[in-house]
Amino acid sequence: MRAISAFRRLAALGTAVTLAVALAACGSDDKTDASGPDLGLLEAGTLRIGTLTDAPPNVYVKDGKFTGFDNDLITAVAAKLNLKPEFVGTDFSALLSQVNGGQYDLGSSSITVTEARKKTVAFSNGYDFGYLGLNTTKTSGIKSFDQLGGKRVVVVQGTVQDDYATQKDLNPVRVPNYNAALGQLKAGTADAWVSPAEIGEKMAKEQGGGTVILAAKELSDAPMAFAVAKSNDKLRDAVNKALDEVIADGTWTKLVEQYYPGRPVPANFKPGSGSVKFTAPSATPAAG
Amino acid sequence: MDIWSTLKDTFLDWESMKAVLPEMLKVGLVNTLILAAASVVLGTVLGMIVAVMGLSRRRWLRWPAKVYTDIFRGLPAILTILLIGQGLSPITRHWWGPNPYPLGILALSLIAAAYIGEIFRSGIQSVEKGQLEASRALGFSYTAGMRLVVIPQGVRRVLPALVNQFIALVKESSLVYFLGLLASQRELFRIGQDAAATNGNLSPLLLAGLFYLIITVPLTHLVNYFDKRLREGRPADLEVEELTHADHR
Repeated sequence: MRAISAFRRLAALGTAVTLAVALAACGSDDKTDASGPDLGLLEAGTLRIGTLTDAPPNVYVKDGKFTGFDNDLITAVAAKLNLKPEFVGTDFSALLSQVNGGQYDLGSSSITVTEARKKTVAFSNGYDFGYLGLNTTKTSGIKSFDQLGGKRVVVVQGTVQDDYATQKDLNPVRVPNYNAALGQLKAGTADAWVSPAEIGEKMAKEQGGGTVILAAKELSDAPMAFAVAKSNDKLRDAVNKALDEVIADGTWTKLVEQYYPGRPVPANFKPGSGSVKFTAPSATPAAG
Repeated sequence: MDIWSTLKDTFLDWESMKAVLPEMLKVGLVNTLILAAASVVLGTVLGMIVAVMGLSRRRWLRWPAKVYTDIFRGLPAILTILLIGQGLSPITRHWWGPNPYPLGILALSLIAAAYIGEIFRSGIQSVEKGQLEASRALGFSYTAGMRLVVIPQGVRRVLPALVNQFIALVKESSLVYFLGLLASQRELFRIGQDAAATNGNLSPLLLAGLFYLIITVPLTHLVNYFDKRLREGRPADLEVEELTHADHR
């Protein structure tokens, strides 16, 4: 029996050490006092945002800081709400369930609003629109989306592009992230990658190694929005209101021009609640 | 196409390695070491408990150990991490907030304990029966005989296998990413992956690989050194022996 109790003591010690180390690792969370109305947040005063670390230009980490169009926009929204944004990087396949499971207050990752996703989470008003991109190699000869039948198509799992490819019976290869999708094209293990056009275009240009191109774009009709837990209407309403404010004050327009220079906004797209006035982003790329 | 120059461009771009190096050292290496060290400690303790339970003469101790080993050894690591990390977080959130590290470490330790338990069990079982019989004859109880005579010998025999498991833990620690990390909580692989995603070059990942080797290679050599010493005794003893031989001559 003595041996058993010795083990028990060791086990308790081990657990304590582990927890202490782990807690120390999380750093000093300076707790801000609750301010403003109760938005049902995990921690009053802080907006905990689930996002991705590797999908430029929408969401990514640069110099140890979370940035990108969506994350800069939600940072502006949080400022209007007097909240401190805290970003957490995760995997897209886990993001929505983690938002609904209450690990984050909000999900920000160019999430396209779909009926299937509405069963898991609630969405804010739309703040962006998306083009499906067709990335391929110079030598593949693929020019348009209708040439994809029988080709080896790669998509990032759980994305709208995955839905698209699956619905078109393209039998796509699913990879965990955009980097892996690009890698498949470069290595010649896939013929085409159905991408979010902005990401696909940027990656082809900067990382395509001269062989990967964006061959075509197709407007996807569903808007992109922030995801919040279904049970949290208060937060969704507050985010919608603040979103209209950053659209009205020109922040949204400025960010669109910064991250998507020269990209035309479709005539029928209205950001936010739809009733808010906005300055259309300039359709010609700024010099430099 | 020149394969070598393509490889060099993709994996050996010094500029992008240099850019990510400070973050790799200050954030990535520290976090990987925290995750690995904590789960090595907890996993070894739990593994020893599982091993001793599995060897027990009592069925109600033996049986849970077997089921535990079957389950945690049989599931993919990523599934266990998601199940523990996401499944338990609604409860643990009230204790230490949404920080994924404690649960990630717990999940890694539970996986490791299943393997380490089997490693310890094989080591302990390889100790000759006579050792326990002799200690019983000297008046030790079963538990005292196991604790003081059999288990120390068994553990000594499985050191290299144990270090294999520690190395696996160092590498598996990257899977904690699936639970969602703050920028300051990212470990080696994630920092490499993110840098690769932003600058379109896999060199940061290669750099992360070098860091993993910096952790794991010394570990193997360290254990080989201890293993040898445990078998052959301290090098100083040899010298003494040679000197005495010389005297006789």
